[in-house]
This record gives sequence, structure tokens and C-alpha cells, in this order.
Amino acid sequence: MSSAVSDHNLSREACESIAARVFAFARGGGESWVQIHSWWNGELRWARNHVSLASDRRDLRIMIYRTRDLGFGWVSTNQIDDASLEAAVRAAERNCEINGFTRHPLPASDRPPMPPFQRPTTAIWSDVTNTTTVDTLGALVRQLVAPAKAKGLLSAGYIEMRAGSMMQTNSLRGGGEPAPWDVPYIAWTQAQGSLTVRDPEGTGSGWAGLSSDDWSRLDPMALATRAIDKCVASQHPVALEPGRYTVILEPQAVADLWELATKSFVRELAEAPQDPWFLAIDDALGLGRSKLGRKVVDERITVSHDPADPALGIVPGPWDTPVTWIDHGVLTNLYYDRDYALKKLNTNGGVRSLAGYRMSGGQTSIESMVQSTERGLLVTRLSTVQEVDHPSLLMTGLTRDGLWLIEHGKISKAVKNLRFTESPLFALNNIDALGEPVPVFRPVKNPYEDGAPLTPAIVPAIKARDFSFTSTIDAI
Amino acid sequence: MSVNRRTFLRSGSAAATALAILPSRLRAQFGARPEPIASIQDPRLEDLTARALDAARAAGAVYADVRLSVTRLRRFLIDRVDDGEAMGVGVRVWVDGYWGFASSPVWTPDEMARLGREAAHQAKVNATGDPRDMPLAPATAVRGHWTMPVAEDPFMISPYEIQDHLASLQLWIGRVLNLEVPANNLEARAQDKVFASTLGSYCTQRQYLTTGNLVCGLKRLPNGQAPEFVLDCLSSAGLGFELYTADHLPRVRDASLRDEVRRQFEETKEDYSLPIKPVNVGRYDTAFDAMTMTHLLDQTIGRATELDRALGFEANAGGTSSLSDPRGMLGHYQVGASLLTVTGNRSDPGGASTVKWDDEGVEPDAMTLVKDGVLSDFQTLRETAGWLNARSHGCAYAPTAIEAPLQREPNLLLAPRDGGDYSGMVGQLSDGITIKRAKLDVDFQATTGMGTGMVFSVKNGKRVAWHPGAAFLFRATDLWKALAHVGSEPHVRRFGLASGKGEPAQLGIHSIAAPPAVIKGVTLVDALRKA
Amino acid sequence: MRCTVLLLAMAFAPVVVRAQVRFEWPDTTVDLAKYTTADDCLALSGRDYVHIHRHRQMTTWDDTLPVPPWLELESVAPAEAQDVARCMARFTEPRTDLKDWVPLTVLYLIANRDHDASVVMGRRLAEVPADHVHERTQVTDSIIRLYVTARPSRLDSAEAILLRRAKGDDVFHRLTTYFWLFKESEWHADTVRMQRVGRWMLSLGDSLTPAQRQSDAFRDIGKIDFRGTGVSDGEALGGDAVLLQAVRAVRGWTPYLDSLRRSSAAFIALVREDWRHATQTQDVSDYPPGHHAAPLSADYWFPPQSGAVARPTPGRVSLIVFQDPTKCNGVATSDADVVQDWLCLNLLARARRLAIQFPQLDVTVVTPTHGYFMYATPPAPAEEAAKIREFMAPHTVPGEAVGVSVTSTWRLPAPDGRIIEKPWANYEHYVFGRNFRQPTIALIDTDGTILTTGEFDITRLADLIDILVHRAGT
Repeated sequence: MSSAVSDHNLSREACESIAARVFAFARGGGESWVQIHSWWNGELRWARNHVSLASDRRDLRIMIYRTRDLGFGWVSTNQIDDASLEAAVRAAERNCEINGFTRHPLPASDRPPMPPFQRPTTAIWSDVTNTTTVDTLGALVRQLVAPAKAKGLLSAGYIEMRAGSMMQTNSLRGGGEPAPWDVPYIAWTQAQGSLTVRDPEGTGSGWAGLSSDDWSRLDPMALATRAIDKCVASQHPVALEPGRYTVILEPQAVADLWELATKSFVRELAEAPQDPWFLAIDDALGLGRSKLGRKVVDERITVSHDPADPALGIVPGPWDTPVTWIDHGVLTNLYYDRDYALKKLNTNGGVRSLAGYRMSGGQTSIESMVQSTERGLLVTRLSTVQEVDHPSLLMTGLTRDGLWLIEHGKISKAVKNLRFTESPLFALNNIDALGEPVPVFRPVKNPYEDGAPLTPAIVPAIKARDFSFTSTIDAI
Repeated sequence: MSVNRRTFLRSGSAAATALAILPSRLRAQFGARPEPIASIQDPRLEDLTARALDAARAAGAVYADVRLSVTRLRRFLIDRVDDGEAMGVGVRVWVDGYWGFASSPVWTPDEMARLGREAAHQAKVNATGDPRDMPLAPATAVRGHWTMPVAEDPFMISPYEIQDHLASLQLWIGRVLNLEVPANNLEARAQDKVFASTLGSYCTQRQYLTTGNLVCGLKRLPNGQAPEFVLDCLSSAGLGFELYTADHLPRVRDASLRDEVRRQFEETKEDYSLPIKPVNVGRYDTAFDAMTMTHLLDQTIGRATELDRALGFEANAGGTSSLSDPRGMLGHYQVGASLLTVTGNRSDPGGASTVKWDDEGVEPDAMTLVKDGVLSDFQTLRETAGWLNARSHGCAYAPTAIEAPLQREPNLLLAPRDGGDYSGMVGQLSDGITIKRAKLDVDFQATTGMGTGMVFSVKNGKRVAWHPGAAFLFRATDLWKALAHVGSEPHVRRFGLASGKGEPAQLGIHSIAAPPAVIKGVTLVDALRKA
Repeated sequence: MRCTVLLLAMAFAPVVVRAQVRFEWPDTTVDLAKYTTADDCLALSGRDYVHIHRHRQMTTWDDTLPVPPWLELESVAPAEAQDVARCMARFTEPRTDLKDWVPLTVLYLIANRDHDASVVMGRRLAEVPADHVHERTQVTDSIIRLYVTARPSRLDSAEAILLRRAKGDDVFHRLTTYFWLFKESEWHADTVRMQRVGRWMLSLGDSLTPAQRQSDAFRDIGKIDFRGTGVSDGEALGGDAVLLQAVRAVRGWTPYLDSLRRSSAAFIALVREDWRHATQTQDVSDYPPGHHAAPLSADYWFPPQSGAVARPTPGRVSLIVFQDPTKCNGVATSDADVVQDWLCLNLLARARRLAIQFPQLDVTVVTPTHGYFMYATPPAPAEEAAKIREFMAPHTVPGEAVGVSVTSTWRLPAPDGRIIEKPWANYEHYVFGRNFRQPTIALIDTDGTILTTGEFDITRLADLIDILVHRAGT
């Protein structure tokens, strides 16, 4: 983790000063928590072959939680001068009068210490991301746009550099080693780049994108070339009868399909009916059994996470360890918290939720997959994927930015986008071929930002049989 | 051992005693020292904004504007109050058709100047002598102050009163209707804004947005279901606490909140009492309730008529629009049946998009987007209106000064006709479908979509069965062209809807109002059926 | 102005001071003019009550104190009463809307407007035609419940109404209503009324058929309506347990003491007679008193030498306290449940008071392990036992022995791996049938006979122990 933080984010010292002042302003005893975020965005957006907006934006979020007199108060502010912090602390204490506990909470000082932990240190900081300026990006975007313009196409896109810092600490444990629920100062970066190239008549559209903590891992020219090629290849699509097709899902499409499924890996829910991972009620024991230990998808699929993997760009928790959720097709882990772990398993620490994952793959290139396909569809990515039936993880959504019919081992024509109604579990049980896993476009959010956070992913291309497409759509 | 109710009643908490604090004054730095200011209307803030504009101009800005915002949030539950407050400043600069923007949470003269210079730099880096074909529509300088009129400022009412109101509602619902209340909370938002520009504008505004969330749960029914319903009339609105306390709110509810809870409860009971049957796929004349019509309007015409989307500025994000030739289509393109008229405004009392001036300092006007089925206009801000060589309709919006203004939807209305009410429409179907409370999944060109909601079959004017798992597919133009009846004014209902747009995504909330309607030949499918 | 500012900015070195947020807070006084309905006033009253109660908790940590009867007798706190009185000023009888009669009654009683309460209740009853017996009875039961749950309870009024209540075939509702009055009388230390109502309960109980006694409705009797809203919640005691309480109350306490002075056998015979009366069965094999107390087992004893003798020890009067920290939330695994539960620590506090009062009493606290303790890494059994002991240390009972049993477990096969605990022997040996839940305490005489497992509260236990130790001549 780099300690070099530019002046557009709060440094460790600044965060510690804020925390110290918040704690110093507290009156009347009790306990205080403070969670400090700062972020900076360098953004460049373009459309119709011209930059539309370039921005340099930054903000803070200071979240203060006080407990006092059998009450608690929570306020947030983005001002860090003394007067503002003091006003926020007073407001939190005022809210303590309203927000009450029902019992005397045990003071933190009386709680026994937590077991030792080692928060994995993961390098999710890139100096390149932090220091890439609009000057560099402006010149770059002109290079990205030029080939599209030369072909008479319209390029639109977005590049963002983001750097942030975060710290969380508690008044009763400050000054020593951080407790597990504290977050020691972390600085992180994220870069994303994506573009959509369309023809002016709107008959074709191609997209490419990638995100990473490190801007230098993105190859913007390669993304631009791919988007242009897809646009050209997708022009004048023909309507295709919906039905079941062999499908080649590019990695982005695989991540799009699997996104909602990642939220379902919860052990306690899987031990109750109506969950995708529920097996049955064990009448003799009076408990629900999950599918843990059972084969749920193709044995070539392993889904795992290593907190030390910077490619997954997730801030690790204190007890995060590598987890394999699906091991060669067998469901091996589901998320559970520390409470569940201690009470039901007598183990120390839960299993993290499936935020950030790597899916195993194979060696088959997309070209090879196409060549081996008698009749099928090649999908770039999926849009507006929603769940329609939870127990089966049946999803519906739309293809977007490139859909091609494959016939006799060749791409024969561009096809109009289709709506699919299919379960990722079904697709992962009908695999014909797997590509090499690669990172995809999955930018993360700050916790307080709107919208559901997306899960960073490293996934392969997948060729699967009998994928269900249920209707045509007009959108290109 | 005895357990008495005293020991059991260890639940919830509220404080009767007020903790009086001296109100702290808003401070900003105008010179070297912090100085208190009374309110957003303090004239010295104009000097602060001038620092930004001057710095931007000195750095080469052709046009610049600056926004200050103070956003307050207060969330209420029966036994809890949370507060948030955030300040921001954003400077936007225009150089040869290119925008630059810079923002931060710091209000000091030095920061104003820094932002002005930075925004200008952001614009100039990209203004390389290759001008965009996007002239800004003209705007005039505006000055003044406006406060959104609300009957009850939720920040000035005793929080205990609001909590007691929520608790009383919950007690009444449990006692009289015998319902559970799994959720009962309220969020109040107040935003003070300053806008200044190099055109000489300087104006200040105070806006409110209040959102309620009340969920009621029925006891288990004979068919095993334990349905819940969300109270429709508490969606986001440009109102204060009168969202709860008013005896009626035009286009939101015709009666008190309690009467509305009771009405929705009866409706839910009736809905869930119908026998469940598998869906018969096919095409049917369909009566849609007002809520579904607002969603249909919002996600098809509402999106398609955003000119920036139609021009391709959202191509890499939310998508484009089927209205792909705006100049060619205006005045000619048949969007729907002649019954269809869609208007927009930012002046409706209680509208979530209602303002006096938009985030570019333009006073919005009323817009008729579709008139008698024909595309008549687009939603615009200065940049897109300039391309149309027209006046901006004032649709610039940013959630706070930290974000750059984007074109966002105003308050939209599907104009009522004389089609009567929803029950009457259902009553006229001999063999049809009625769909309520549908959520939509519309494609990235706002052209085709699928809706899932409460789907019932109707025979001889009566609902006869419920089809969970049924959905309807539609192509927007066909759908609107098949509009057969549009409900009357008393049956228009308005909802506050949130949506994301832009890169990075920004949340925007606007109001949509529509009456119930009948559409012919709607395609019904089984959403759970694979190919 | 602008120039002046610029000059000033140039003249002084700029201080990095940022603009300030305010978090303005309005006047918190509520406007009672807006409180127009009974539910509004009830919400206000509820908030006041919770606030007052919470503030009391800040100065009194009552987790281990006995509940004094005057707590039930006390009036509504003045702050709450005043607020309610002002809020209710707009409501006058007989002009209120009868649909609101329940909250109106609650509020009238808080505001000491008993006459208005009786008027509105009377109006409600008068609404029901005389021949709608079932509905009249339901309304009557609601009225009784409102009087009983008032603060303070209006027991005279409740009883007066109860006497006029129809005695139809709704036996379970009737028994429940009797039980309401019975229980509230107990909490008000109104023994005379308790006995009177107890006799009614027994008369009704004696009339029940075996089929009625087997029914779900009988098993559900005894759910306490804590919120006073007429909606029952909480665990049901069961009809048998409810009738047993009535039997005891009617008999009065003296016969138990007299019988125990004669002998344990006499006492056992008496309580078994109670049991047979309450359950209308002859079989007492489910009923703990009279059974021989099995020796307690533990893997770790604190102090260690206390395990050298059998417990309960023959020749000694013994009190066993069954303490399962996990069920008391005392063993916490997250911040959310790190609170001290009233029930469990109260038990230890009672045991301590008894031990202090009766030095001859042997107190043994037994507890099982569960493989975890608070946040700690799942400890080895010895370590967990030590932690449990340490957790209970602030509540040490003089001379106690604490026995910790390592719970046997088995695991579901991997990858599920969930722990399934085998029954704890100490519980198993003190539960004799379906009618009784796991015991909280057990009182054992010098011959090793179980006299009671938790039916009597601390003052009763003290009386029994006093006799036992004197009988033992120790």
C-alpha cells in the first residue's frame, strides 16, 4: 500500500487529526466512532467524437457515531474545521437523547479483547492512477476518437481516475493497535475506461471497457479498436427468431450474468426454503440443509477470492482469507458472519461475502469457440439483468453492443439484440468450452454513493448450450 | 419467577427533554477570517462566487457559472433520528464548446479561485480548436431568491412531533386495520443553493424533498400468502411534512393519509383474494393503473425525449433514444395515438423537480413534448437547446454543487382526457387484462421493454383471476399508438421516481403524473418461461 | 465590496478555515394542537414512558434487583400524566368516536379520568345488542384487560366487570381473563383478591373435560399481553401451569411451610396434590418435586476441590442454579448482544442473597460449555470454563461451587460442519416430562429429594430454606 497520497485526498495524519478532534469534542462520556472518507475524481467524458465534459471533483464524508446515556446518535458532514466537527458531535449527542438502547450496553472497556487478526495488506493503490491528469487524458481521447471519426462513426466514452482514502476508529481504542472493526488508514485508487462506438444511422454499436486500480493496466487504444471493430461488424443486424442457442458469452457478458448470483451466497438463507442453495429440511434434526458439498455447476468451474489479489480491488476485512465458493463445480462455501461461525461451527471468523471473485476457465480462445460452433450466438455484454425467480436464479436481461450469429464455425451476420431468460446456473451446467479468465469492466463505488455496488470479477469467456432467448428487442 | 410488563417494555426510546444548544451560525471565509452569515441569502456570498468567476475568466473562460449548495438530510423513525449536512461548490467553464468542471467541499476565497482556474484548465485542455457543434442557447441574467413553498418545514417541526405522528399512524394501523408495519420512516431533505454566472446572474433557492416509506403487512391469508403493500402516496415530493398531515394532496391522494392506508388495504385484500391461475399468453386489451402508466411514460417517452440522450451523449451509459433524428422528427413523428399528450414543467406545486431556476440559472418553462400523439419538443438545457436553436427548457440539474449539472427529467404529465377512472376502464373490458403496479425493464434505447406487476384477467368487466409470474412485452411506439382510453383529471396520480444517469452516475428524482389508461393488444407472456 | 474583500485577502495570510455546517435544531416542544386523535396522544404517552423509563435505567441498573410490588402500584410519572392530560383535554364523554374506545380508555386511565373511562367503556358495551352474547363477552374481556393493564391497575373495577361477565362455553377465554386479573393481583401484592380469583379459576378448571385439556387452546393459555393492546404475545405458560398457580394461591403459603416443617414427604405430598388438582391427572412422574436429585456432573469445578464431593451433597440443604450463559445473552459474540440479561444475573443475585442469609446452604451453579465465549477464539474447554467463571465473578455467591460441563457435540459431515449439541446431562436429569421446561433452579433437601425446580420466587425459597436448615439442625 503506497503512502504517497496527493493533496487531493486526506492523508493519514489529516484523518487522525479529524478523529482526535471529534473525540476531543465529545462530552458526557460514552463512546465515539468516526469513519472518514475522502475521494477525488478526474473525469473525462466524450460523445459524438468530442469531449463533452472534463472534471476535477473531490469531496469528503465524515460519519460520526456517538453513544452516551443509553442512547446513540449518527450524523454525517463533509466539513472538517473545528466548528463544524464540534457542531456535528453536538448533533450526534443531541440525537442520543432520542435514539435509545433498550439495555445498558457493555462498555467497550469491559469487553474482552478480540482474537488476533491480520488484516491482509493489498496494494490497491497506483501512483499512475493518482497522478494522471486531464492533460494526458485529453490527448489520449483525441487518439481514441480519431479512428472512429475517420470511419464516419460516432465515439462516446468515459475515463475516470479515482483516488480515495478511508479510516475508521473508535474513541476507546485509539492510540493502540486498531481493533478489527476499525479500519486503519487505507488509500486506494481506481481507474476505468469504456467506450461505445455507433454508426450515425444507429444501425450498429460496439463497446469495450475495463477497470482496475492501476490505469497503466488498461490499454485504451486496444479498447477503442475493439469497440470500433464491433460497431462495424454489428451494423445492419437482422432479426433472429428467439429460442435456445449455443451461446458464446464474452467475459463481460459472463460477469453481467453472474452479478446477481453473487449476492445469493448466504449460508443462513441457504438453510431455508426458497433459496437457490437450499437442499431440504432435515426432519430428524429439525434443520434446513444447504447444497454445500454438492455439485452445482460444471466441474471445470471454480469461483474463488483471494484478498491479496489487487486485481479484485476490494478493501479487505480484518479476517479475510482466501475463499473458494465453488470448487470444481462443488459448492464449498457460503457467506456467514462471525456470530454464525462461533455459535454454529465453533470456528473463529466468518466467510466473507462474494464481493470480488475469480472464476476459473480454460484455454479456448473465442475464435476457437466460434470455429467449433455449428450454430450459435456471440454475445458482447448484457444489460439490465434482473432476477425473475430466486430459487432457480432465473434471470432476464438484454444483449447489447454486439450480437452475432455463428453458422458453420464462422460469424455469419449481425443479429438484433435479444432478451434472454436464463439462469446462470443452467449456463454453467451446460458448458462446451471455457476461455482464459480476464478482468472485466467492474468499477466499484464508495459505500455512501447511490446505486448497488458492482462486484469486481475475473472471468472467462464461456460457450454454453441451450441458452434461452425469449424475445427480440429493437434497441441497438 | 415473575416477569412483568415493566421488564418487557424495554423497547424503543424517545426523549421528552430537549437538549438546547446555541444555534451555530453558518460560517464562510470571505477574507482571512471566518465570518458568520445568517442564511444562503447573505449578500456576501456573491463576493465569494465572484472570486470563482473572476478566476475562471482570467484563465480563459468564455462563460462560467458557479454553484454553492448546502444539503441537509434528516431521517426519522419512530425511535430514531439521524442527521447529515454537506456543503459543496462547483464551477463550470465553457471554452469553445467544451465544458470543464471543478468542485470541492471548501468555501474559501482561495478555493473559489482554484476551482475557477481548474475548471478553465479542464475545458481548455480539450478545446483544441476543433469546436463542437453545440452552441449554448442564450440565457438572460437572473437575480432573486426563491423558497419552495411548503406548508410544514420538516426541519422546523419538533422531531418528537414527527416521531409521534409516525408512531400514531402505526398504532392506528395495528389497532384498526390489524396490520403489521415492518417499515415506517421518513426522509426530509432541504437544499440551499446559490447560482452565479458570468452572464451576471445571481440567485438563491431553497428546495425541499420529502420521502416517506410505510409498509403494511397483512396477516396470512387462506391461500397462504402474507402480502405487504407500500403506501403509494408517500413517494418523493417537493413538499414538507404535509406529505403526511394534509387532508388531501392534489394528484397524490384524495383523502387523509389514514383513509388512503385503509383504501390501499382494501385494494390489497381484494387483489389477493382472486384465485391464482396460470397465464394464457396472448394479446389483450389492457387496463393499466395510474402507477403503471407513470412508469411507462417515464421509461419510454420520458427518456426518449431527453435531447442529450437522443443526440448520443448517454450512449456509453444509459443508452440512446429511438428519436434519433430530433430535427427531422420534431413536429412529424408519430409517437403515439392522438389521445397522447405529454407535457413537462418544473413549476408544479409539490413536484420533485420544481424549481424557480434550474442549475444553469434558466427559469424553466412548460414544455409540450408530445401533442396529440406527435413529437413536439424535447427536454433541453442550454447546450442541447442550442443545437435545436431553441430556448432552454431549464432541465439542468445536479444533486449537489459537487456534481456537474446534467440534463434530467422535469415533472412529467400524461395529460388526462375523459376516460374516467380505473374501475370504469376495467368494467368495460369483456375479455381483457388489467395490470397494476408494474415495474418495467426497458431497453437502452427506450424502445422495447417488459413489465412485471400484478396481472389479472378480466371477463365481462370483472377481474376473475390473478396471474403471478405473468409479464407484458411492449414496443414503445406500438404501445402508445394503441392507447385507446386515457383517464380523467380526478384520477391522475403523481409519483416521485428516482433514476441514475450520467458518468459517473448521478441520482435524480423527478415527479411523473398520469391517469389510468387502456391500451389495446398488449402482449402477455409468462416471465418465468424459458424458450 | 468585492475589492475590499480581495484587499483583505491579500493583506492577511489566508487561514485555512472552512465553512461550517450548522445542524440546526428546532424547538422540540410539541404542538399539542396537532394531536387530534387518541392514537396521537397514545404515541405521545408511549414516548414519554419509554424516555422516563430509560432515564431511570441510567441511574438504576436494576438487572439484579428484585421487583418491588410498589413498582406495579406506582402512578404514571407526572411528566407523562401531564402530557396526556393536556393532550386529552379535547376529548370529553360521551362525545367521542366509539371506534377509538380502546386508546381513549387507556389514556383516560393514565390521566386519572376513571369516570370518563367507565363512560366510554359503557357506551361500547351498550352498542352491542343484549342477545349478542359472544360479542358482549369479547368486549367485556377487553374492558377487564384495559383495567388490569392500566397504570396503576384498576383491580376493583376489573373485578366488578368480571363478576358481570357471562359464563358461557368460552371456557378458555374466561380462564385467560381470570388469569389476567389473578396475575395482576399477584404483582400488586393483593393476596386476598388473588385467592378469590384463584378459586374461580379452579372451579372452571375442575369443569374442563379431558378433551378440552388436550386442546391447543388450553396449551396456549397464559400468554401475557405485555403491550396492553389486547394482542397477546410471548410464550404461553400453558393451562396446567396457570391452574397450578391458582391452586397455590388459594391454598396460601402457610400450609406449605407447615408441611415442610413436619417433613419433606409431607411437603411433597402437598405439592403433588396441587399438581394433581391442577392437571386433573394422578400421574406425577412428570412433576419434579419428590424425585431424587441426581448427582450433578461437571468437567471443571471452581474451586477445584468442590468437585471432590458429590453435589448435591447428602446431608446438606442444596440450591442448584442452572445457568446457561448463551441463553442469557451473557456470552456474546457481537456488539449487539453484549448486554447483561436481567433474567440470568438476577438469578445469581438471588442465589447470593440466599447464600448470605443462610450460610448453611450449599449453592452449586452449573453451566454447560458451547465451544465459544464472547469474541474469543473458540477456546479449549478448560479455557472456556475459566472464562465462564470469570464472567460470573462479579456475581459470586459466597461459598458457591461452579461446575462447568463440557457439552458433547457431534458435527454434521463436512462441508456443512454444523455443531449439533448433545443434551446436557444436568438438564436431562432434572426434567421429567413434557410439562416442564428446563429448570432454572432446584432446591434439594438433606436426603437428596427435589422440593422444587423454580416454581417459587426468592422470598418463598428463603422460607423453605429456613425450615430445611433448621430441620437439619445445622
